Amino acid sequence: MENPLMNNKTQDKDLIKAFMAGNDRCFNELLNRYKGKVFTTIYLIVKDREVAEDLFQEVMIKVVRMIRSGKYNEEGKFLPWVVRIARNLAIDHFRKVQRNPIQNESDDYDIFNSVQRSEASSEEKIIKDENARYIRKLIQQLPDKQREVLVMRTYGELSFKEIADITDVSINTALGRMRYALLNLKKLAGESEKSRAYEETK
Amino acid sequence: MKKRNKEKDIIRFVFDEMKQTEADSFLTDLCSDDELWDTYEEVDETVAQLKEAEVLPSQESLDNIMAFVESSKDDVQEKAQEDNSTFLGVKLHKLLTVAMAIFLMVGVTSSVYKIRRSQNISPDHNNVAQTFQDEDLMLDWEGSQIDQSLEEIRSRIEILMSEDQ
Repeated sequence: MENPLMNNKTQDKDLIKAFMAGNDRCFNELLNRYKGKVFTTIYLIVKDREVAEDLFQEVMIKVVRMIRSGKYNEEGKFLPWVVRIARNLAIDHFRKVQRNPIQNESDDYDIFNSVQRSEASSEEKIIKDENARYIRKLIQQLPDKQREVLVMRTYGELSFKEIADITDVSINTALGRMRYALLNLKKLAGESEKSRAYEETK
Repeated sequence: MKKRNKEKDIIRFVFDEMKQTEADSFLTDLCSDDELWDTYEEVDETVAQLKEAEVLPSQESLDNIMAFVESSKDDVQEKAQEDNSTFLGVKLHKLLTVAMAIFLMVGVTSSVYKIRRSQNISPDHNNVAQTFQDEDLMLDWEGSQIDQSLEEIRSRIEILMSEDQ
């Protein structure tokens, strides 16, 4: 029999309540619901897949512990809450390593994309994957502050006010950073296209 | 300046961060301004592409997380049970300690009182002071002496009343 809690319409707070009552499957549902957004946020902040995988696990384990200890405020939204934890852990990570993150080129040889490719080898899927990887590369080239706002708003679904609060700037500044991030993405895409065309003519 | 603000408005509109009345008004502006509309389309398209760039964690990471969820469940239950029993234990222990302390205090007080009553301590004030060395105890002793005197007076009154009858 299908569990009534396991459908897309079930609200996060209901899943959390059920998880607190001991239903682990509800956490699995939450994990499946937000794994992409949370992981993308972390990955685009730290720019390293291996570190992102570790941090993602760390974030989720922290989330489990906090929910179980009753520290989750159900009035708040689940995803922005998790993204805030993710951002803090990413900052802690940077503090620990005390250096700029190493840009890992693993996105070029993405094992997971390869798996997906072998599973669904349609041309359309390959193009889509290529395009996604290209966009991620462009995002990674953005200045840190602009990238942070873009990632937290687009994948973390934090409002501009929430972003302004946690980054300690005004909403206007957060909006301005988003605006420049989008402008720079467009510029970077243009430059990338130019260099690609140049490579082809050589 | 005005253009920059319009671009910020586009961003708020695309990310659905405008109140309905403001969004309706902005939509009217969009429809009447070609340049604004083009910028809107550009931003909207870029944001849509960004959303497609989502990347998934490895299955291994997901399995590790769920393994933690399952393994720590037992810890949570054990800890909860432990906490409950400890909580009750502490309460019972405290209750017993308090009861024993009260019992001891009452016992000791009554014993001391009985001993004092049974001892025929010298009415000499100096001797008493030397014996007890404590002003409070001396006052207790004086109190018991008064009680004794009152008892004697009461018994004499009773004798007198019975003689009268």
